[in-house]
Amino acid sequence: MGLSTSTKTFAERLEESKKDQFAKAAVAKAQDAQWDKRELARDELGNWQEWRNIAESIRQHTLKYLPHYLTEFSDNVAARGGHVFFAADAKEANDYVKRIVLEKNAKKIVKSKSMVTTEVDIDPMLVSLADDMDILETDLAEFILQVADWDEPSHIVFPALHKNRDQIREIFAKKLGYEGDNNPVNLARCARDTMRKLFLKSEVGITGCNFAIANTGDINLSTNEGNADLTISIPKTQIVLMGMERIVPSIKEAEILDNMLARSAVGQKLTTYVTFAGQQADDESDGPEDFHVVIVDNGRSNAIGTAFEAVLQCIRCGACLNVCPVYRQIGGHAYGSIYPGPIGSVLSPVLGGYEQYGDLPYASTLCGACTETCPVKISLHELLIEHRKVMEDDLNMHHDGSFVNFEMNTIGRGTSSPALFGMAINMAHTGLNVLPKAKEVTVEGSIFEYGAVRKAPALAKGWTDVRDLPIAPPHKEQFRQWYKKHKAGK
Amino acid sequence: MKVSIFSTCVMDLMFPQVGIAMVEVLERLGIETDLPEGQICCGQPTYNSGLVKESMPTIKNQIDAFESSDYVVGIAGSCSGMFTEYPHMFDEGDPYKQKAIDLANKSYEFTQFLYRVLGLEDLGATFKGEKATYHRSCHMTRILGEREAPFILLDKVKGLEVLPLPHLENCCGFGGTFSVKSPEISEMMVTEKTNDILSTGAEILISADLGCLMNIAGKLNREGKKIRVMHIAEILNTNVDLERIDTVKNPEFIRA
Amino acid sequence: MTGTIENRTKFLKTLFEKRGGVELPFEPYVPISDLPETHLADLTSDELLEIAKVQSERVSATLVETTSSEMNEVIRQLIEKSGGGQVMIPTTDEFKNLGVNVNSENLVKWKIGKEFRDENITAAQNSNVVVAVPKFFLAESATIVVESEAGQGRSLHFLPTHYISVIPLSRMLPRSTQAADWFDKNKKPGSTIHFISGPSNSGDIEMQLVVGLHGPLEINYVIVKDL
Repeated sequence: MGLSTSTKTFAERLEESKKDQFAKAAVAKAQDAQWDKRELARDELGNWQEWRNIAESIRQHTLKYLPHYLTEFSDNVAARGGHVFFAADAKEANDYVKRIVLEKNAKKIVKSKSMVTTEVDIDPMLVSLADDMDILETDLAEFILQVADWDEPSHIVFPALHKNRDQIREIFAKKLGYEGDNNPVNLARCARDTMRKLFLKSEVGITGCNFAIANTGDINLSTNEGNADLTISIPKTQIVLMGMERIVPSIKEAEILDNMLARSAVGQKLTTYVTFAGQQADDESDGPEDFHVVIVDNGRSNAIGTAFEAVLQCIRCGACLNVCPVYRQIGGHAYGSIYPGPIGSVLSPVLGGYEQYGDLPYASTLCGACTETCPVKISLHELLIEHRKVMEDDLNMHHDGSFVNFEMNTIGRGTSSPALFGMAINMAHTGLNVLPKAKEVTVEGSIFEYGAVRKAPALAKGWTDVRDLPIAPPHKEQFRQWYKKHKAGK
Repeated sequence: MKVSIFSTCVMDLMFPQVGIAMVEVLERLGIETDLPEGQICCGQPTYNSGLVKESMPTIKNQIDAFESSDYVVGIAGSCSGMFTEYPHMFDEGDPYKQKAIDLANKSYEFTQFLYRVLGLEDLGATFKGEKATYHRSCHMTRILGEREAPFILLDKVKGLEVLPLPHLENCCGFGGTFSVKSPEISEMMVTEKTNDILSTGAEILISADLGCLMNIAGKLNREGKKIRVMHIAEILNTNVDLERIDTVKNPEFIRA
Repeated sequence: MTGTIENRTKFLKTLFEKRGGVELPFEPYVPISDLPETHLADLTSDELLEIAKVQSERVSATLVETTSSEMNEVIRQLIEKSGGGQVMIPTTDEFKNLGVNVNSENLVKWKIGKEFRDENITAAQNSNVVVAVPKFFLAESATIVVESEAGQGRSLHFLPTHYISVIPLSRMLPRSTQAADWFDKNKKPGSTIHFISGPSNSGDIEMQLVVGLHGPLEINYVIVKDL
């Protein structure tokens, strides 16, 4: 799949997302439920703002000395007999995984959830290696998507949010011979049994990495299901894919961030399983005899040394998706990237460029909910403005076309010049008064005191497509005129 | 005490009644107001669209307009919030940086000023038992950082039952130019917001941000809904009972 | 055994160039606050146990309190309640040292030695119950912390269906901070650490929490108050 989940335009994806009412209701329900759980978890901890400062300081420090920590980590992995491959891009990462899988002549591969593996498009490559490749996504949501013919994820923490229990029952019945009902408990048991059989035969385990522990060469994995733990115990070969920024100095910093992650992502104190593991120890009988870590850049370094560097602080908690009022309405697929929502709108252009992802920074009212909730204090809404600035001012990529750009520039001139603004004030009433009006004004109060416009042209068409536009008062009744008289009267 | 009125481009163009209400409330407290003529707009519409270079003349003009003010009190939370962003827009060494800092330090949104600077809670406003609900401005809450003042002041309005709004934390879909450039998404957001408002059974919708009010009221009117929409300044200026106005904590001025 | 590192120089050079070719002299991380260390640290053992009891329920773990003289009977009852069957225990001196005696006709041990890999994994898979002793118990999150060793493999904690954790009360810590701190100083090189808080679960279907996914379907915390 890679970074992109669709070849359609933003407008086309938006149209499609409007059709799936279940998915939309699911997102709203998820946001509401998560709001309560997340806020409660944070309140119970107390001093949340201070914890955010701590988490931010850890992430910023690590990014500042990223080369040092990557060096320390890779040295420690190698010292224990493990193999580290630094991949500049998706192709290099993909080729390395292919190399190892072919070397092992492995056919049975289990994967536990990792966005990076999707980003570098591992699955189609693995499937193509032989006819009898047996690839299993073991995270329940990813498993559901895989069984549903490799459907795309719509959320970074709850990838199958857009699927309801009936759809899942149908998929399981068709593909797995499931004969039970749509009760999630029974669906989950079916998944567990199916996957357990495949786990026990697995030869290679591919995982992501919540945080690489620099001073030990271990990997920290945080899950509720336990699939990552089976993946690092049973297969003899383990391949870890990690974004280069997913690293901490020691287990102490990982522990702090795991706490922030669990409370922010799912409103839990910790996820059920928080694991620190690496190469099999000399006296262990299970665990990977052969341990590989692929450290991936794939565009992340584009952010370094720029205003966007802060986006690399992200710990993939998904809280920003869960508070975003735009994501709430349009869902994950509309973003066209495996990283949707606010974090995705900042990250996707950094990784994948403006040609493909330039729409995303504009799909926001800049309400700031994302910035407010981010546990590592990334100022997401400000970075969206920064993307817009780069596109408008630096690259001259005018988002809505030249005419809207002309109108925006006119607004810019009009609001900086008292003379022009004065003219606008004089003309506002006349200009609006001639447009098609609403026959009846039902909303009382000063907003529609002078009438309501039903249809307006140009930039204002977007307004009247959705709602009525107030008509401005005649010049002599405007505020500044009143104020002059008011002061004179005194 | 002298206060400069920050009228905002939207109020100047469209809603004089709101500005009048704010001036009347302030002057009733014995405050002297002025209206610096040079002011136009805080620059949000163009700045937030990414036209940062193009916004600088607008922003500098705004800073210049209030240079000699003691206090700057604004009618819109998002516009006053924008002033707090001004200092980041100038580099060290640029003379405007300090001017921007000075402006941010003396600038307040209306309810913020009443509560935080004057220490007032009861402005004497009186209603007849109507039900109302309050929509919170995202920028006022998150960028300006004023979460409490509007609620505290509304609580002391006599005869007004303020009902909680479901999904208070969700944006109404205005977002400045977003409302015209992304009408499809804006429509979805404002539809949910109007449904939430109507679900409370409120007869009056209140907000401290004119952008939000234009957006929501525009949708309510399009749907033919009967409801009254008022800016919080208008609420606080309704049927004022002077006896109830708290003694002002700032001893600098006398009650009218 | 020596490992390998590929392409590091080229990769790091890119990062260096993105910083404008400026080499930052390294400084270690200095914590900006002692909040992790102080949070909950001043509570008494009784207060922490109360917190652990409430939290255990929230994570769907069953907590029972007992004493060293009663614990083996409690374990026997829990095994029976889980349906009996094959019971796995680690190969360790700890059981003997603590006086833990698992009374079962169908007992298997995790064997020490690489040659037993498949046998151990299969034995764990076929075990209905596993009994183990954790290194620590974290009150705030109702978490057992286990460190793998030759006699106690990774899969031991995950493949069996029911888990019984025999927890000496003296091993209770306020929260994950103290455990992380201990491991930072004392972790055996190459060992695996699992923080386990309740049975496995997932919210992936309509965000409805389902207890029991890949790991054990059920977990019991047997707190032994005088150990």
